[in-house]
Amino acid sequence: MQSRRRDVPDWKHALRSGDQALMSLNLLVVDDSSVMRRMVIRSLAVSGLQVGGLFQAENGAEALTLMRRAWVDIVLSDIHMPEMTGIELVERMAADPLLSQIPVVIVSTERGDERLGHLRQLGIKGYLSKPFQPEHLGQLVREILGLETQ
Amino acid sequence: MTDTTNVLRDVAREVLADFAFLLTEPAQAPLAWPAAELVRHAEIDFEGPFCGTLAITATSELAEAIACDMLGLEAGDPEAVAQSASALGELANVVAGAVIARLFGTSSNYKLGLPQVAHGHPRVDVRPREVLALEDMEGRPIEIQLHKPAGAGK
Repeated sequence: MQSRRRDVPDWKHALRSGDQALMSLNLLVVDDSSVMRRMVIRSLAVSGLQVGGLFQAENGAEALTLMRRAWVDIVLSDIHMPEMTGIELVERMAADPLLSQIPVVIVSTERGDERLGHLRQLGIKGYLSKPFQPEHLGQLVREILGLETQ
Repeated sequence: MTDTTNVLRDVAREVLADFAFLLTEPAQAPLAWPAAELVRHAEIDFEGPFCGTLAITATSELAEAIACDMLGLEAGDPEAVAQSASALGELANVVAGAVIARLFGTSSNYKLGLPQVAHGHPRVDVRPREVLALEDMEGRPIEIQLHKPAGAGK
């Protein structure tokens, strides 16, 4: 079985120097498609984001378990997944005082106004519909985390 | 040619190009398929005001090429073989999402299922369907079927 973690997190802390944030990010990519997880990771790498820890989960339940063991700076999640959907993941995170602090970006084929409206009410920070341009994903993550454009 | 046919053709070709870097043209002749064990299909159901299924069929070779392009792998990389089913399934997922949004709009509450990938062609289905026959630039066949109630959407 393929490892769900491609890299072991190195737990680097955020460093700040002057106005520029030099962050080594811990990212969590949640998608039941292994290809999609790899495409998201590749897109972020292409965009030049410095990734410290890279976590992967196949559904919302795995993501919750992982986030209770390790800190992540941002979650990139699909919606339609077996066992626990991205909507339930966001609902559970919103109800948790600690996890609700973690920004969530939805990366999905879902375009329905009602579901996306519900997710926005729950506090997601961004939404990107598939197919997406790699640079758009990197730019969105930068904007949400307040990073300088490189 | 119906509006649905046009939407399916335009959206599918757009997604194949943007998401899988696969340039296609409508086939000018009936698609020629190899033996069933060399063919794969991915199906995904959708539910909402109308229910239906979208299926994509391609040769295993093309599915591997799609995985290579999506993941930035070299041709022949064993990883592409391992990821080809997932790649075809995700392609069906993305095409279905885009087609549904274009046909039915975003105000309707549609829910996509999970893609199922198998060898061979999709099962014979008596529901009304639109069939889109495409070829990539190397002449490799790819077929997209959309099953939905007659008159639903555009």
